[in-house]
Amino acid sequence: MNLHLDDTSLLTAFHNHATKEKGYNGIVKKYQEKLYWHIRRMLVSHEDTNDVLQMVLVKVWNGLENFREDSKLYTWMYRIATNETLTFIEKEKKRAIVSLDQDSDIYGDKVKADTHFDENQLIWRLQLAIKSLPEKQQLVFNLRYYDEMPYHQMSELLDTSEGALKASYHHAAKKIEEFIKSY
Amino acid sequence: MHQNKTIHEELEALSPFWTTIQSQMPYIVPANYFETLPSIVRAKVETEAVYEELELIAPLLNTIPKQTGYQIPVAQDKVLPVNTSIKMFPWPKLALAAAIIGVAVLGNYFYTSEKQTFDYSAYIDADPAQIIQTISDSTLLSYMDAHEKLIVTPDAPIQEYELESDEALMQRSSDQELLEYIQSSN
Repeated sequence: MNLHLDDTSLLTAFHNHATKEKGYNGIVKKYQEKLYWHIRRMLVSHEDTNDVLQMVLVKVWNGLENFREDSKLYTWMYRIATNETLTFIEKEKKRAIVSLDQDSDIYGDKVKADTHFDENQLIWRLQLAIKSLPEKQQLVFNLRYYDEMPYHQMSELLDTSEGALKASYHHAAKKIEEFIKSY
Repeated sequence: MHQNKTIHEELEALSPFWTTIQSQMPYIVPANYFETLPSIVRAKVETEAVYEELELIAPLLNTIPKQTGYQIPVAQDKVLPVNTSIKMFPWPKLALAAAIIGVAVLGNYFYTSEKQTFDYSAYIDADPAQIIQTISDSTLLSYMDAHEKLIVTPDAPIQEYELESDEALMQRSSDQELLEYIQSSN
C-alpha cells in the first residue's frame, strides 16, 4: 500500500472488511518510525521502546474500529503512545522504589549504558540533559525540538494551553543549556 | 543547529548556544526493525484476540500455562552396545557364586526352621475335661500307672514340718551371723 496515502484513505481502507489488513499496515508503516522515536527519546532503551510500541500498535488496531476522526489520526496515535510511555515510566520508578534504588537516575543511567555513549560528544550530553528534566517537560521539548510539532497540535495532544507549552519549552531549553555548560 | 527554520530561530532567540547543537539522535535502531514490525504487531494482535476471547469465556484458563506435560523422547545419538560380558564370565567365578548362593539358601532354611514356634494359646484356653474325653481309657490308665507318685489324692497324708522357733534359731546362730543379718535387713 502506498505510504503517501492520506489518513482518510487509510482509515477508509481499514473500515472496509476486504482491505482492513492493508489499511492497518499502511497506517503502521506511515507512523511507526515517528512513534518509535517519540517513545525511544523517553525510554532510551530499544527493547523497552519495542515493547511499548507493540503495545501501542495493538491498541491502535483495537481502537481504530471506534475512531471517529474527531482528532487527527496521528494526534490520536501519539496520545496513545504518550500515555503508554508515561505508564511504563511510572512502573519503572515504582520498581526502583521497591528495589531501594529510588535515588538513582534510571534513564540517565540508561543513556550512559548505551554502547555508543560518548560523553565528549554534545549530542550525548544533550540526551543526558533532557533526561534530567521532569517527564512532562521532556515530552514538550522532544515534541517541539525533534518532531517539530506546532504548539496547537501539541496542545491537542497534551491537553495543555499553547502558552503553557511555550513557557515549558523555553524553560526546558534554558535548563538543558545550563546542564550542558556545567557538565 | 536545527534544520527547521522556525525551531532554529526560536532557540537562537533564547541563546546562541543552540546553534552549536545538532538535532540528531545518537541512538541506533536494529537493522530491518521497521520492515518486520508490522507483521510482528499483526501476530500480536491475533494472540491478544485469543487471550481476550478466553478472558470472556473462561478466565481461569488464561492463568494456566499452555505447555503440555508431555515429553518427547530425546533421540539417541548412538545405539547402545549389547552387553556380552556374560559370555566372557569365567567358570570358577560362577562356581564360587553358586556356592555362596547355596550357603545362603541353606543358612536361611536352618535359621527359619529353628525358629518355628508353636501356638500354645490353643492349649492354654482349652477345657481339660474336653481334652480328657478325647483320650482313650487305656492311654489314661497307662499314664496314671507311670506317674503314680505324682498324683495327689485327698486321702494321701500330707507330711507336716515343725518350724524352728526364733529363740532356738538365735541361740544356734553366732554373733557374727546375727550382725550380718541385721545389716542386710537395714
